[in-house]
Amino acid sequence: MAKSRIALFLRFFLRTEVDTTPLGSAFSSSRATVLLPWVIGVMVYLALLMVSASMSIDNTIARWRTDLADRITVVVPPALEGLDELSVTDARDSLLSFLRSDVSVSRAEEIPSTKLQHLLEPWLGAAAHVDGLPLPRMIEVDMRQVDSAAIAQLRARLTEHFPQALLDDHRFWRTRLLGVGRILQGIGFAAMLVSLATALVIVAFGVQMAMSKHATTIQLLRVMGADDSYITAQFLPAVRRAASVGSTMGLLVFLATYVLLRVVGAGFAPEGMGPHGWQWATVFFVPLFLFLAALAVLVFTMRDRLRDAP
Amino acid sequence: MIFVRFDNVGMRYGLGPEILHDIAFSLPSGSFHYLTGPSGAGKTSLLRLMFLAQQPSRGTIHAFGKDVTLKNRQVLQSLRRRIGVVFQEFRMVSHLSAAENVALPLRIRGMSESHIREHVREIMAWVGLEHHMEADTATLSGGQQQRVAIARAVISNPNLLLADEPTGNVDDVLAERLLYLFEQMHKNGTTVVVATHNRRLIEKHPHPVFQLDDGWLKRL
Repeated sequence: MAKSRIALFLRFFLRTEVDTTPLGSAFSSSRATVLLPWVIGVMVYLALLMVSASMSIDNTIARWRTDLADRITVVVPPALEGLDELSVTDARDSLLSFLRSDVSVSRAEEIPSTKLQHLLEPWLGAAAHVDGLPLPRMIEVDMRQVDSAAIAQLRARLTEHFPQALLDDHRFWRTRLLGVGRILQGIGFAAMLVSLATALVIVAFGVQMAMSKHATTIQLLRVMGADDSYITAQFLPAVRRAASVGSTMGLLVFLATYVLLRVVGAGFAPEGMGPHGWQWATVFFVPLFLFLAALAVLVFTMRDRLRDAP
Repeated sequence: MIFVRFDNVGMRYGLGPEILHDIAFSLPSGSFHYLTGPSGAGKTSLLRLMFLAQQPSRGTIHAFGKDVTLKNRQVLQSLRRRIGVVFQEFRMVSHLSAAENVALPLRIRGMSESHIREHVREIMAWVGLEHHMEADTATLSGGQQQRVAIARAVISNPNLLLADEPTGNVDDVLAERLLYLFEQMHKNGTTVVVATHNRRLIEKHPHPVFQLDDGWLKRL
């Protein structure tokens, strides 16, 4: 058994031409496998899109985790009843002083109007002037420790001294956003697995069709004493070629798509879009995995079919 | 030494009726036998049992001293390499040249390319087809294809050579030539079984005859 596995291994890596093999060239030109590289290519491309989307979500989630981890927002409504703009500014300054002196707060800064303008730009356009708009004043507050009790106590103190100020606890919507993000990430991952599984099922079908087409020749080889590894090796060059060409094609198209999105989306594309750092290893691993898995599927499919032969 | 021994072998395809009944015989090493009988008598099925492409429904078969009904795949594969088969319908691999068809048994055995080239040239000359080495088998005549099939069956110097109606598709002159090749193999020590219903050929080249009638085997 071990000897035949070694023989199969050597045949796979050493043989390059298929013209003198009893099934090699016939298999690669059969209808069953002529579309195989394209199907594998499309599936690798879809899998990479899915994995890339999943990574983008992962990057965004990671950013939310760190950016919003210990942060809350205190909002000063724009039109405080009976107060003019000067009074509102005074109220804001008092509020800032109050927050900075609170023991649970490590930092309190007003979000500048330029940042507010940037945040509103997608809705109002770059030319819009936010200074004339009745916008709330927003204060970012970093807390020393974020938990329900600390926030409740701060909210109580705020209500006592600044009844109009609103405390926005990010944890509520952050938890929901993280949940949605995780679900989307899971869907992306599942879609990637489905794409890869589809490609492998198609490889299995292709091998089975080719085996049915060449059943007479396979039977002839068996009568001559060919073992399973020899017969499997006849199909290896075609599947190896289809898997390598398909995987490479899928990877190249994905890289082209990535570059295109980077160029077209330069300036406004989200920061975490696409793979970063070590995630590129995963991107290159997906086609490699499919290539190896396709060969494994070939071996298992053939072993399964040949096992029933006398 | 007994190369092949059948003991009370019966055979059926699937759930169909039994087509071979209580077959019992043995083939001593170096023997030459004919297998005759009318069409549909079961000659091809008996040969399939002999070249281990089929398992019997009952009884036991020993080949080269091993019980092949135990279905040990590795044993079967190694035993098959000791058997050469000439099929009635030639069974050429259509996209391979004549020489590549002949080389197949050696490739399966993992022989070196130089060894294969030398042996193929030699055996193609033996069957008189040295000038058709690279020919597409589809362009060869029936007789030439039959000789390629014989060359393929004998190139690995098998212990047992089985031929299913090798003279069925050729004229008398060529049938004589083909039988001459089988007799040469026999003289070299190969055990030969030729299935044929060419009575004239059997009379001209007399050897022990097994007769199959409706699935029953008797020695004439």
